[in-house]
Amino acid sequence: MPAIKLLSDDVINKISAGEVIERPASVVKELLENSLDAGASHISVEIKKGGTKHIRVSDNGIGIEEEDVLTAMQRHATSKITCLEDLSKINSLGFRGEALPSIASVSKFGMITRPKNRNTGFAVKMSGDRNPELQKTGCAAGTTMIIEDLFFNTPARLKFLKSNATETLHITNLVQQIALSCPEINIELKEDGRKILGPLPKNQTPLQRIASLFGSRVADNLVPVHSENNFIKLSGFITKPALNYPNNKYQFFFINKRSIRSRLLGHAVMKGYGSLLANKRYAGVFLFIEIKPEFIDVNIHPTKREIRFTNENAMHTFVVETLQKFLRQQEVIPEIQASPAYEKPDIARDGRIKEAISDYITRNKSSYRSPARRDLLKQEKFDYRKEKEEFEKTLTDTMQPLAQINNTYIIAQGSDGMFIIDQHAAWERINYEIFKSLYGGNNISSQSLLIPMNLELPSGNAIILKDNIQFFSKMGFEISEFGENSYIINAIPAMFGDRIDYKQLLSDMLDLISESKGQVGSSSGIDELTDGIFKIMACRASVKAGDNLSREEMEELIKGLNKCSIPYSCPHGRPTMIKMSTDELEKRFKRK
Amino acid sequence: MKISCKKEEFSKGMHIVQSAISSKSTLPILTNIMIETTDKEIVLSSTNLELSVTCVIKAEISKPGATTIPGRKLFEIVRELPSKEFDLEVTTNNQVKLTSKNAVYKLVGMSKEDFPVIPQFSESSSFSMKKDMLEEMIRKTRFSVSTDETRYVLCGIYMSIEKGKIKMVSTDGRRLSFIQNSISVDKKKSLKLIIPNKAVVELMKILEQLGDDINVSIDVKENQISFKAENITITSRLIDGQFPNYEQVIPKESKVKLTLKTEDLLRTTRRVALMSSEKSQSVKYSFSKKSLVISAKTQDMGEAQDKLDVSFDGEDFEIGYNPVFIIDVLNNIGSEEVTLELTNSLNPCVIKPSSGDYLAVIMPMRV
Repeated sequence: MPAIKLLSDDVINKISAGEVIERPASVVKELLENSLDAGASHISVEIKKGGTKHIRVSDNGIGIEEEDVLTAMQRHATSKITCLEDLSKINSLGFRGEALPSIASVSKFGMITRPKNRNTGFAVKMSGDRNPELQKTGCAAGTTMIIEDLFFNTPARLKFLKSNATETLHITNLVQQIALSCPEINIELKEDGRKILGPLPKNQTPLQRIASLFGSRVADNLVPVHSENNFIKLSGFITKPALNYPNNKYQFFFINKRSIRSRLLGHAVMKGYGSLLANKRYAGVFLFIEIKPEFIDVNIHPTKREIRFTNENAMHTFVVETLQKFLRQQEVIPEIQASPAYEKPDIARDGRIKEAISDYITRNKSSYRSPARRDLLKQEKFDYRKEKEEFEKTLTDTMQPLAQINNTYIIAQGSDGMFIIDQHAAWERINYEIFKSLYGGNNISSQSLLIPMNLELPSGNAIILKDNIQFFSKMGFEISEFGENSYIINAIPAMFGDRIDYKQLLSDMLDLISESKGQVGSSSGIDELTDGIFKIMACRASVKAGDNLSREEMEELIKGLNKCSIPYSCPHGRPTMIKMSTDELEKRFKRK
Repeated sequence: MKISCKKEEFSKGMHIVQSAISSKSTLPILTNIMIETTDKEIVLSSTNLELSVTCVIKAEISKPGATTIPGRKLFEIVRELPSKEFDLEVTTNNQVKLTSKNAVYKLVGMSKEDFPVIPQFSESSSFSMKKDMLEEMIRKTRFSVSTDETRYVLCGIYMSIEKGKIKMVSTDGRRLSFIQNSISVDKKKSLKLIIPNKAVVELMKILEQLGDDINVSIDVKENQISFKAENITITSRLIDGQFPNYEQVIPKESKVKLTLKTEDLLRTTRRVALMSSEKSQSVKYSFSKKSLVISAKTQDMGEAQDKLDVSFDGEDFEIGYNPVFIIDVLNNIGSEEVTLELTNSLNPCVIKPSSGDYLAVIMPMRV
């Protein structure tokens, strides 16, 4: 018997399914792309249990002819390309002819289809390795695909699926991308009968579509961009720098209507904004690129999520320059809302400070070690407890604020020299510790609102909010649902007072939770995610760099620092203060 | 332009208008004040584009004209002048020469043409009210104005005139104050507008300096409002937007009605509030038969408790408030006794004076 044998079709299909069908969202993606390729103007997606139990995608597209119905179920059967040359000019979303057989091989698969000009439709049923059964049936024009018990015969895959909520989130994100790329179609997503997204009206403009999906706050803060040359046409919308996010979740790229991930484009966006955005803040972009199919290769990954440009440099430059051109034109920079906390640091100034610090350190090292001289800059080496005791003494004794520099740093005098305090970092530390202890003791009090605030959320974040409503309530937010993706804030944490933007805070918190794909506050202690949320809250609630402080406010800050268990660094690890001892001052002025 | 003025009068006028001078500005002209001549008077004006203040003072005019001069510097100079009078003359290129006895100053001015135009109002559409009434209405509502710029319509006092009544309302979303009075205006006159807090602050500063029995005339044009009292006019841009439907959130009914001495409630709240923490400020009001126990507690600090005798005989209940909200109302209510109207620990509380059309609504805290 020969050792090397051809694999059976069934095995081939399953291997292929492994590549194309990772999770329920992949199924939805393949089916949606088929629907779009079929010219549908109305697509409805229904899922149950995150898509693991049931996925149903129905469209009003052209349907499949009788003689094609069974062929469609075979591997590499496609109507979209016919010869090798066509591969270089792919215009449709799907083309590999792998989707249907792959899906069918790992699920209980059903299809009902009727071309518009036929009187009867056909129903096909297929499950795992069984042969398809074909039956005549009456049905609406178009195609409906029903996928049940996904991965029922590949338990290994099933085991790797995340929670239903996570799978739903993946599907929501995917439908969102499709909805963005085709604002002309009516699309909706339902889970277990409840609406998650849409139905979005037909024939929306791209901007209307963005507004329906992400709310008017986003839509009102967009700058339209448009640019083209002989090869590329770029259009879309980018957020004004004042509206930015802690991650790149709001960056959408579409190449010839196909939603793609691209580090290249992500980098180009970052470069286009340049110093308009602070470190680790991301703009939101909705960029639609049309490019001749010859110049891209979509066939490098089975899910077609990634794409290769034949001339990457040209593409990069084109995007950077387009963004820069429009950002400059719009004079988007001087909006007052832009939070100065995120101001890009003045590099020259930073350099000077760093120089001074390193100078200071080397001097300290080489000179005689007096016990009174402490190197506050090299925190790692601290024995915190001992340091704290001594430090508190110096603080409580005589630490007096003297002045504020650049509305950012506070100069204070201690019993043993001079302190330079970063006001934002210091307040962050103080607030962080206060919030943590209030939360730990279940002591966050909540102020009810006489006039509630409206909150519009993108659908992904809306789901996260719903899943974590308990946690937010513990945080002092009382939020109730008010129509689709729209919420009402009835009560807010009392500790922030009037000076913060609660909507921004909530949306930052939700973004963080969605990034880590978890549930917050599920464990009794303070896990990493909850901790991250405290950091966001602390940052938002704190005095910003650039805020003018009165003497009383400076004194309050020092008092607050004094109560902290780790007063030397902010929750993100930056130092809150630099110290220069009297001894050191004397040395520098050559008195000693 | 050539004028001569009394030092004291000019100083007073400068003091009034300097409130709208910008100290630092990207537009240098805004740090100047404008001096313009009329027949027998001069008009001093300052503006920061949002808010303008003008003050008319007497002067002898030898040559009419107008100029603008750096405001703070001029104010300092005039205060230090040696005699009670001084002359001011504008030569070519807005060079200003100021002489008093032997002291001579030369200042670089800027042309009047560069100074922003301050909106003018035709007196015909104005209405007037007594200064003390206006002052009282503002005083009783200004403390609950919001400072949250994301809800900018709340960052001012809402004023409406309808059917011969003037109302002022402010809310920061957590509490609200409302006051109403009758004034003598045409019953058909109807106005609804939001006066920004900055204008309120400056207006109050000026009103406090004026005598009691003065009429203030108020006029509104497009998105501007002006208040004119004696020789002073304040003009401000209005907040553009829709004030929330405040009537909806004022409770119409209550289960509990209590009358208390204002002073008692105020002092007790203050006393107890000392032991509420800065970050989760709340004071608990526990009602039981014939008594109201007020208490506060902060982890790691301690607690406080005090008791008032009250005429309460409903079912026991507890409610938490930010003490600042209570103290603000009681400090400004100007009535020896107040009535508290409550329903339960989730619904707002209404505080009313024993007489007068005033009320404050405060939302409770969940403690």
